[in-house]
Amino acid sequence: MKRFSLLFALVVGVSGSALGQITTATITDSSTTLTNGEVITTAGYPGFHQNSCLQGSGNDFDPFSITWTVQAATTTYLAFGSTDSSCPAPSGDGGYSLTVENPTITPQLSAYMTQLLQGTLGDPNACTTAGSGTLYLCVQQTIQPDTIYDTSVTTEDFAVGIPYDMNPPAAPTGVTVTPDDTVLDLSWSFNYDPTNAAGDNPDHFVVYYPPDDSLVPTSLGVCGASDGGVAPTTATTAELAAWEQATTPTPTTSPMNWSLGSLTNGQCYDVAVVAYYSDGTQGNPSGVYSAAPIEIWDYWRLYHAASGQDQGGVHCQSAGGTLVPLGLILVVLFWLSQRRRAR
Amino acid sequence: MRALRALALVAPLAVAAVAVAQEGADVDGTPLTLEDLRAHQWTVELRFSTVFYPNVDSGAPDVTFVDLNGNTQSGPPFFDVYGPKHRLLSDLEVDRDLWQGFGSVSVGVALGYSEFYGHGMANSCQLPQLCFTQAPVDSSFHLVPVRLLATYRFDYFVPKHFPLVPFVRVGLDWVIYWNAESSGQISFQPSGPSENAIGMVTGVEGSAGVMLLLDDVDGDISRDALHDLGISHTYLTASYVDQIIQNGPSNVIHAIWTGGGTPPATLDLSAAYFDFGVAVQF
Repeated sequence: MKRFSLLFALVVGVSGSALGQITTATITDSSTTLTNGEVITTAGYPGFHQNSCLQGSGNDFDPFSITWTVQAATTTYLAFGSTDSSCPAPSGDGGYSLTVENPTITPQLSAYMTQLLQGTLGDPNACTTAGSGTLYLCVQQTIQPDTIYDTSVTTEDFAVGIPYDMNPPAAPTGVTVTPDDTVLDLSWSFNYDPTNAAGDNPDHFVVYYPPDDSLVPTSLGVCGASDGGVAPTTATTAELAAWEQATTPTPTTSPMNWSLGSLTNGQCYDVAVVAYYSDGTQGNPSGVYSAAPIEIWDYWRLYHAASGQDQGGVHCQSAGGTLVPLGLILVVLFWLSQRRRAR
Repeated sequence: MRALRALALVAPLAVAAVAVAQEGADVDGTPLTLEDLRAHQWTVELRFSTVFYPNVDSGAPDVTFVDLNGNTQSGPPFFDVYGPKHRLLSDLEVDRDLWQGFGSVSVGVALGYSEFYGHGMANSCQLPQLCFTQAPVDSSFHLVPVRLLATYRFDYFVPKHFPLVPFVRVGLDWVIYWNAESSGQISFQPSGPSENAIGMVTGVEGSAGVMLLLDDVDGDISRDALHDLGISHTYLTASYVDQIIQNGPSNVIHAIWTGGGTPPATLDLSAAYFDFGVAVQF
């Protein structure tokens, strides 16, 4: 499972009575620097998904941390989550919040993303029910008047957005299975964003196929419900867990083409494709499709079946037969060229 | 039949030649200038043939199969997989003049490429019985002819703006071939560990054709090409090529080397075809 942590380094500078600006935040996993109001949109961002969220309540999930440098002892900081980019002040327990008043040392504040999401949405089951959206991390700073003559109270907000998607990856669609020699060539479509702005592209797919489907196709390479394999057009997650698995590389476009290899020709295979996020969140399976690899006789094999004798390679190697004529010609040309120069 | 096809090809060139000759006739009878002579040493020629099909099935028995439409067909192996259609052969030749006098003689090298695409067969019976059905699985056959060529061009009258240049050409051929599966992997014969479908076959060839001088179609462009790019002449070319590529030269060497030993069998990549192209001389 790929973890991610968000480290926001917030630097506050204060000049006179003016409020210091929080300028940037840095997300360590993707080395992305965000400015106020910005939502992370980078291909390096792995996304915040269900599996990360569910494990977030444990100690094995990295928290994201908020740190900032204190330069004014009269500043109050309030950090909280919000689904609103304008960062309205949280009310009651409606949002996870941290308050630091008049800090005298550099504070290090940490929070689990899961806690932030659950607290902000007010839903302890947010990891499975939250759907998708953007969670804003808000830091509100308030400077109290520092003299009896200055009664003004100044506040400023800083917010950066973190997309989350608690929905499992969608089931691949348009699955096609084409038989080849000991191989099934697969193709399927899925939701793919070239920018991966929300970190929602699948990290990989797993192709599931039963371990022992020793049944023969109804016709050449074609298997159907009558092949005795998996009858339903879908398979449950529990069924899939007992099947053989093959993992694809990270997709770079949709549709994705991939080959399931090392299969036995003439045997039916049922296959289903499932998408996974980088944190291991499992998607819904595609339908189950069946086909049987077929032994292919291409031209070369047909040629030998028809008594062809060419064995490939450079013929007459032992005699240098293919190279000698070239050598002779080159010698003659060299001789001619030398003779011409001599004139 | 071949003669009729040659005539059909050459006739339009002849008509065009008359027109071009009339265009340049105003200089006839006047002394040749340096511009008329247009010295050259190199020829670069780009040729294409749309009627290329190697004689690779020669002597092979027919194999019966059921095509993708369910029809039963029969033919030799290459025909079965790649069909009867001729494919494009592209050729780039670079020549260096060796002699100029009553015409010119040049030697050069040519590099070509052609590819065939088709469908492999599936055996729907248990071995050793063979019942072939065309499968929706791609297969491809690739040819890269490398040639060493000597050309005689009868371009004696080109300085006088006569636009037709007949030529003859002979050469040695080295043809690299490979057959690839749908994955791009080189095919192999399962029964033999070293029988990968990649190799080279040598041969000889001869060709004859005609070149149509384009210099006088537009004199201004021709002069600019000469002065700015150094292009002396530009031609359209058409020729008939006959190749015998079945390890002929190599087999001779092999027989000498082994005292009359039987040479190894090879694919017959011989072909006879028309091609056309464009040539420039520097």
